[in-house]
Amino acid sequence: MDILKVIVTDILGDAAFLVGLFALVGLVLQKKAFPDVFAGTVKTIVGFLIFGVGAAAAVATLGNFQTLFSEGFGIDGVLPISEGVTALALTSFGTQTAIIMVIGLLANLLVARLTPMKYVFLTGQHNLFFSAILAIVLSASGASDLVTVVVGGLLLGFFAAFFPWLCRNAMPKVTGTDDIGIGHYVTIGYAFSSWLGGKVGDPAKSTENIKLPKSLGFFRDYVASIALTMVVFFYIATVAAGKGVTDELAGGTNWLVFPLIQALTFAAAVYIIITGVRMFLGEIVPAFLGISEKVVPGVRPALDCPAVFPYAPTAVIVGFLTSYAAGLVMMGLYIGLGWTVIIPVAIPYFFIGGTAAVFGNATGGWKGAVTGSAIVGVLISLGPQLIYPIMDSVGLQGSSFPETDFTAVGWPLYQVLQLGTGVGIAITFAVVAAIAAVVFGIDRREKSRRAVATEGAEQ
Amino acid sequence: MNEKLLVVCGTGMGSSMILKMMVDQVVGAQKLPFDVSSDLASGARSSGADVIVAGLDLAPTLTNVPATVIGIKNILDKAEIASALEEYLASKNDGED
Repeated sequence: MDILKVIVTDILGDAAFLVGLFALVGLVLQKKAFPDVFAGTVKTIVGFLIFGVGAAAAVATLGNFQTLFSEGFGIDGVLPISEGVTALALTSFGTQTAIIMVIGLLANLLVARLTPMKYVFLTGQHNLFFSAILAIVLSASGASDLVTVVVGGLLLGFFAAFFPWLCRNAMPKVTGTDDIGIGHYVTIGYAFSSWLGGKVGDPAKSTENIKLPKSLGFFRDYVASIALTMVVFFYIATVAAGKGVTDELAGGTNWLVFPLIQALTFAAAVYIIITGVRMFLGEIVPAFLGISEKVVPGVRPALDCPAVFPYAPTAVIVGFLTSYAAGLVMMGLYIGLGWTVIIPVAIPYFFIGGTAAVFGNATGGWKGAVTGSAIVGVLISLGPQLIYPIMDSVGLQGSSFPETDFTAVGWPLYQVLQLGTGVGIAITFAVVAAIAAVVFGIDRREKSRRAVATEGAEQ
Repeated sequence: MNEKLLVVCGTGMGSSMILKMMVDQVVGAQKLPFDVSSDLASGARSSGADVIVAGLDLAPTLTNVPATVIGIKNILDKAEIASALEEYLASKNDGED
């Protein structure tokens, strides 16, 4: 009995071994040779552990930032970046997050098979982030571990198919084909940008006709870009907090050198996090894709946002600049109102604002790109404003999730769970069922419209 | 001697993972002489790779990299990847003659 307990709590209870087990099963199902199965499983476990090491470093620096900022300005400063907050979540909710992700991947296959939402979500790290926020919201509301992972996993699986489905009409306008979906949890923003573009602009007046200075490509460099944002804001916070407060945190280091080291340490931590995530996803995602192709005929992969960048690279830069400006304006607003200060971090704005602009450009040219990315820039600033209190309440300070879809699911889920865990979950599943019913209805309507159009063309 | 091929993207884990999977499948199916790995674009310069494969929009930003940079428009399109890799191998062989 003791051996069983050791296995369940110490080994399987460790998130790293859990994802390793999932990779092991995936590799065995693919009939790989034993050396490959062994290497793949070990790489997955080690990758997850590397992620943990990065997480610990990130937690420390974000904590210091928080202290300096709140001492300096009297209000909380938050740097929303999902890699960061997920790393924070790992320290308290690591196991739940890992199990939710695994159940979610399986549930995604089930939902894709049984509904018209035939998408399999292949952007592993976004599923990881979604798992983290679901783990946080459910645990923070008092749900038991079992309820957290089952409900979280099922919700993840449902939305992993649903959100790409939301952009099913917008994607072909960008790529020209409908065999891929967008797997990036800002689909509400992208669908909106695509719709809005059609109303405000002209696709012929594309951003791709504009020439931009090459130096703006600097922001594509992940490490440099994060370092720059963090250095700037760390210095602002340090100067505001003053020498006394900073000296306490800095140990022996000079108070004006400390922020530089902390900011660069954060950039280093994020690189470590990415390396770890890449390693453990490296075995899981290919296995997942292989299995999904067998289980769901006609399934479309939902891919990370850079998959659309080649179709409108100038739009990406335009979108980044516009949405970041929007983020700065919102930050000014929060400072004026005395709210928690949501500080725009360059990297999410690059990828999210850039993608929103690509969608807006496809339907509305440069006007669509600018309006779409500006509005999405506002949304990814407001979202953290709404959900940061939840993060804070479970001790995750300094960062939050910018992506719109996380807020759209996480915030209402939290509110509804406050009415009581059982009631909350019942309501949640009722809503999910309602959404599914609407999806089936819309799908039937779109299919019959297509059939009529084909008949018309044939006549 | 296999060529070292590095697949990169902005984050090192999103689109580069899919692109790497496609490259792996092409390299495996056609037995091309490449050792394939992936990383984020920040790591391209120090990687020691002979060839870098990236999305078409990212490729022009990889300047000062001592490797051939190949840009791919549709990261799921194995035909595009295969022809780009074969073109690279052909030009290498021409150079050596």
